Order: sequence, then structure tokens, then C-alpha cells
Amino acid sequence: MNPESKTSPAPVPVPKQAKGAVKEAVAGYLFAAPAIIGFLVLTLYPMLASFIYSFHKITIMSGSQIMEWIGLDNYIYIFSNPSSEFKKSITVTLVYAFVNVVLVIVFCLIIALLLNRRFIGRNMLRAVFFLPSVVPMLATTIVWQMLLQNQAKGGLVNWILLQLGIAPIEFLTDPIQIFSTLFIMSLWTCGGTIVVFIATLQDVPGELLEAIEMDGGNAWHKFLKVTYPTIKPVLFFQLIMCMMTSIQIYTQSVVLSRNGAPDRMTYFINVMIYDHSFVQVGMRGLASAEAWIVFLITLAITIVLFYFQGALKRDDSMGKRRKVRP
Amino acid sequence: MITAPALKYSSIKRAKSKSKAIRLALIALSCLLGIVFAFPLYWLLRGAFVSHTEILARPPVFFPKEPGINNFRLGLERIQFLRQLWNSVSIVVPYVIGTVLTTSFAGYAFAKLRFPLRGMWFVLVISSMMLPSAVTLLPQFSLYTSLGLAGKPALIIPAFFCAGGNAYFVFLLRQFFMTIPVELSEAAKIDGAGHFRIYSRIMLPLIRPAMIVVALFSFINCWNEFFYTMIYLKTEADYTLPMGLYIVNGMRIPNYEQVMALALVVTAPCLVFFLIGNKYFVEGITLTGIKG
Repeated sequence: MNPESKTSPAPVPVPKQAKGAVKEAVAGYLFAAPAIIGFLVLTLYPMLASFIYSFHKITIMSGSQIMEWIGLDNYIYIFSNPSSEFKKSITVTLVYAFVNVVLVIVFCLIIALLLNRRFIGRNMLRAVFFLPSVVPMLATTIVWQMLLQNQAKGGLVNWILLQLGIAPIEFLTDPIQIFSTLFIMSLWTCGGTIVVFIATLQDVPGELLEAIEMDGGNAWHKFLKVTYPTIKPVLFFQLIMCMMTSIQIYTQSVVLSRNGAPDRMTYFINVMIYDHSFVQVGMRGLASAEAWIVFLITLAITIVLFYFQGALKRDDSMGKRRKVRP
Repeated sequence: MITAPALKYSSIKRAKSKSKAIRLALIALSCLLGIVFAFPLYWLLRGAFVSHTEILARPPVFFPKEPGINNFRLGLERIQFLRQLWNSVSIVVPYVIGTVLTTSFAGYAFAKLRFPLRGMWFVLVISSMMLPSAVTLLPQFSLYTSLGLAGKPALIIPAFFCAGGNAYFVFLLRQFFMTIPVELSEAAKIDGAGHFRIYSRIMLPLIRPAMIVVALFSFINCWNEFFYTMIYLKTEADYTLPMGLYIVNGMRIPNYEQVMALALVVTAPCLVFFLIGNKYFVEGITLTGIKG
């Protein structure tokens, strides 16, 4: 019976397979339905709708939205009206985001390289570095506020500076120093990236490192020639994700002050869009236009970053081919 | 000719002891940095237990003299603790359930099932990760408002549709599903199992560690979510614990020790879950990071 069913009914399995394929396709769509519906309804539709919103003046009358077409007025207002808050907001956001990304990536890489050697307590240290990243940003901001405050209000860091004979720093009220505060908090909560880098460093081929050592290369050579190419893809992925979260900074700003103090230096894009959408009246069209400009800017940044990643992918495949050949 | 190798040998020895010294110095440096990293958490703990006079004392008090729960009692009186705790829990629990269910469905579909346009849908779903949330904010808000869901439901619903940052988990779980050999599901198919049966009986048990990772992360994400909470929770009856803390902190009360106590209360669940799932956390981010 067995050999018969295997050999003779040649035409039968084909429709059966086709039926199976249809079944599989239906199952695939059913399983993916939440994600697909979610994308269409909660991402694609709102994106397009907010694009349309951005050409309207939107007012709320007895609970319902009244939309009035005003063409490019919102965009013209954003770019040419001196009372528009957009320019300052996007400037501080982008400055924060770029500096923050560089700081976070470099810092995490250094910590990961430090922890990338076997010693007792390594796992515990890794946990210590990771732990702050699960603390709610709200609590993080409150603790650091407490630490960095004016020493008369109980700020510990400024008290230590005073004991060391260094002039206290107004971390929370100086328009430039407030950024130090934000960067400190951001570095304190970047444990996830550190863990990713540590894991990635395990893939760095040890033989190649030894070979460079034999040739008299120093630690910097090793990093540049072996470590960096290995971790590059992960580095770029982390860079992009860090950029996205940095641009959307919100909690730190509203916990430190409600109005972007000092001097609107922490009036970041999301804080402004929140205000224009839900605090001020009749500015929802403007908020949508602002959101769309932010979207286009992040898109441009992502494309540039992906371009670099694409360039490195070619490198990688070449490296692999070279390895396979002998 | 005779001295040269000896010289070389001693210089290697010197270099070795030098590199050993550098090694020790680097380890010491990492330990020092670790202490710096852990310190703010200690400061939070200290702040929650010191008395009102101690929190402003100069020189600073590092160890509270009479640690007590007074700060917690007084701090919790400032918020509607039980109500806010219930609100938080009633958002977090369905959120985590929704996340685990739908992201594993999607991960399974994108990894193991062949269907038309699979690649396109996957890229689209994943790319929503790179979208600034502001660009979808207002239409989402009107959508929820018109459906009468602008409140707690608006914070839970995205979890059931792989939205609101959950695309990341779809990606993570897809990576896990892809590591499961095809032969396993083929064998089950020959035995006549349907796709749901394969998913629930064969796949799920195999990716249990990944599911735990997703559950832990989505708990932390949901508990720490603040932007959308500010938007959708408008009435005091709906406030969550973090909102309560935010309000008390915003009042700029002089009793900072009570704010610290509340901050510790809000942080505690995250720390507990971290301690429970430390191993899974590290594994989880390791996987996402590498496959990225």
C-alpha cells in the first residue's frame, strides 16, 4: 500500500497542495490580521488624516470637530510668523537628539567594552547598568531633580561640588545646563543599549584580534579593524532607535517644568504638539502640520542613516565571501 | 645573538604585567562606574525613608536615623491610592495579555505561514516603529472620541493590534519563530493538525522564553507610558499611579520625602519584575539587538 500511494497518484497531490496553500494563506491573514488592521487603522489612516488636518483650521464646537479649509496657512504660519514656536522647539529637539545619540552610543560602547572581559561580578555589574532603564522616566526625573537641585534645596551634587571648592552649577535653571541634566538622565537609563552591545561583542572573532596583536597592532587598531565592522549593523540599529526616542522626548520636560523652562529650552516637539493639540484651543490643524514636518524630518534622518547601513551591508557580504573561499 | 631573545622575553613579560595592570585598572573603573550608576537608586530609597528635617540637612544624611513608613502613609494620603492602583492594574493586565496574544500571532504568521504580500505587510508593520507618535496623534484621538473610547480603552486597545510600539515585539517573536525547524510543523501537518493547532501546541511551548520577555517588556512599557496617559486620562477618577505621582510632584510640595516615597511606590513593580525576570530581560534584548 505504501509504495502505491507514493508513486501512482501523481496528479492528485497537486490540487491538494494548492488547497493547502490557500488554507495557509487564509490562516496567514487571520494570524496577521491584528497587526495588519492595527497598521491600517491606527497608523496609516491617522497619518493620512493628520496630513489632511494640516490644511485645516479645526475648532471644537459642542464636542464635534469643525474643519475649515485654509490651504497652506498652517505651514506658512510655522515658517514665517515670528510668534510661531516651531523653530525654537525643533531646534532644541534636534540639538538634544543629535548630541544625545552620540553621547549614548559612545558611552554604551565604552561601558560594553569595559564589561567585555571575564571577571567575577561581571553579570552583577551588567544588571546594575541595566536596572535604571526599567525605572519609570517619571521617577528617574524626580530622583535626578533631587540630586541636581540647588544645594540649599537639598541637591547632593552641588553640595559635593561646594565641598570640593568648585562653584555650584545651576543644573535645573540655567538654559544650557538643563541639557546636562537631560543628558545625565538619558545616559543613566541607556542600560538596554549597553546589554545589546555586550551581547554583540561576543560575536567579535577572537582569532582576528589575536592576529592583529601578533602584527603589533594596539587596542585602537583592534577596535577599528575587527570590533567595529562586526558590531556595525547593531550599532546603526541602536542609533536609529535612539534617535527616534530622543526626538520624542516628553516626560523629562513636563516633570521638570510645565512650560519648557528655563527659557523654553525644554519645550520639545512633543511637548509643543501636546499643548497645541489639547491645551490651546483651535490649534489642532497647526499641530498636525507641525507633526507632519517632524515626520518628514525624521524620515529624512532615517533615510540618511539607512543609506549608511546599506553601504556597510555590502562590506559585510564581501567579508563573508572572503571567509568562505579558502 | 644570545642576549636578543632573552631581552625580547623580558620585554614581553614586562608588557604582560603592564597589560595585567591595565586590565585591573579597567575592572576597577567599571566597578566605580557601577557604583555611580547604582547610587541614584539608593538615593531614591534613602529619600523615601528619611524624615522631613533629614532630607534638607547639611551635610546630607546618607543613612536615615529612624527609617519608618511615615512618608509612605502621608504620601499615599495625597493620592487616591487604591483607586489609582486599580486603574493602573486594570490597564496593565489587559495590555500585557493583548500584546502577548497578538504579537505572537503576527510573529508566527510572518515567520512560518506563506501568504500573498507577506513581505510588504511585514515591512509596513515594522516601519511603524520608526514613526514619531505625534503624526498619528490627533486622528487617533478623534477616532477614539467618536467611538466613545477616549479614556482607559484608548490606552489598552493598541496592544490588541500590535500598535503603539508593539511592532518591536512582532519583530522579536518572528526571529524566535524562524529558529524553529520547519520539520516540526511539517510533521504535525502530515498528522492532520491545522495551523492554529500547530501554533498553540508546537510553537508556543517552544517560544515560551520569548513570550516571557515580551510580557515583561510590555508590562514595563505600559507601566511607564506617560505621553498617551496624559492625553487620554482626563478625569481624576481614571488617573493611574504614575499620574498621581506626577500631580503630587507638580504641586511642588515642600515634603519632598513624601514625593520620593511615592516615586518608590511607582518604581517598585518595575524593580520587582526586573528581579524576577533579569535573566529573560538580558536574553530578550540580546536577541532583538543582534537580529536588528
